Amino acid sequence: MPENNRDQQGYFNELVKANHASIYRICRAYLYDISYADDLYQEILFQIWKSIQNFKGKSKVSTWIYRIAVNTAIGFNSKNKRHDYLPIPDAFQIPDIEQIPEKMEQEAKLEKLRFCISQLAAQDRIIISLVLEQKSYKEIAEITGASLTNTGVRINRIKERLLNLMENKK
Amino acid sequence: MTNFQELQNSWLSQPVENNTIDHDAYVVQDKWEKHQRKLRRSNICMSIGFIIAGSVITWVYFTYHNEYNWPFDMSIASAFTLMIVFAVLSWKSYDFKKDQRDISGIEYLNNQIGKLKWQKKMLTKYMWIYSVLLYLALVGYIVEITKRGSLLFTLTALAITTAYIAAVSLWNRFYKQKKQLKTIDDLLKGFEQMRSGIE
Repeated sequence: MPENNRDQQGYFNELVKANHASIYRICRAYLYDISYADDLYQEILFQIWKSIQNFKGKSKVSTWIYRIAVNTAIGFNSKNKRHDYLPIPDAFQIPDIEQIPEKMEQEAKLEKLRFCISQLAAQDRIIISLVLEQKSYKEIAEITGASLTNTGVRINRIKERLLNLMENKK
Repeated sequence: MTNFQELQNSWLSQPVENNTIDHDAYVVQDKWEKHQRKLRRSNICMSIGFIIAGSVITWVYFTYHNEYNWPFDMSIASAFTLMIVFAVLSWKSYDFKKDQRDISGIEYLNNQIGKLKWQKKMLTKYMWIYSVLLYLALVGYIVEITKRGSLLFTLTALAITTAYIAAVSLWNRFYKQKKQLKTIDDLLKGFEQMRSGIE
């Protein structure tokens, strides 16, 4: 691991460059409100920076980063209860995809997906964000610390619930 | 019918904002947290020391105050007051607020800068005032309790006390505080740069 501050900054830059998109998407999955997700993103980067000296290379760098991201997200929510999911008022309607121009369809679908993810429990939001990042069951189990069997069962249940929400089923 | 693969593709194709990364801010924040932990530990040790010293002084006062005159009472009261005042001023440098996300950036930085400036003042100014006043209280105490002995005995006791206080103060000023002041100055510089970047 880099010893001096300049090398650490370089290493940190590389890590962030390679993983910033995944980290940001995890934040967006975990917190529906974009401004809170931005706060969480900054907090995760700060925690990675703080922990960089302690990284012993026992696990893959990506697993290490995701662990920090997940733990920071959990801590962030428990410290800042007001940042937890706030129910969206009934007046808020998800746009009807069929009535909008085609080029906006993708963004509307994405917004609906974000909204449906926000309906899941906090711990399920973390797991589904890792699934959406194409992490394998084994990696997700390593990141969360759960057993592989439980992780598999749980992921299937969350996927099913998310698909139902997307189909407007309860 | 939506399938999960579609959702995944849609999720991964979402635009990711290019958030800026401010290394300097991380370095300063990290240093600040370490500095705060060090300060808390040192303040706790100092407070425990003062409680023990205060208990001994109280015991000495109640056991011997009938045998001596007002300089004895005065020196003990001064030492006691000095310890309390110094402990309160030292804890004033510690930032008790843990979560400050609700306040504006400038206000947050002003708070850190204010705490650091107070710490600097404690080390460069109040520490000396405390040492001199404590020395005077000890001189009064020594003169009073050794008045029945010879002049040489009184002078020897005063010389030992003076040498001890001077040695501790000089070691503090030119060794221990040098490091502390450097850390404080680095932090102050970092926070002030961040503040000027926002203003």
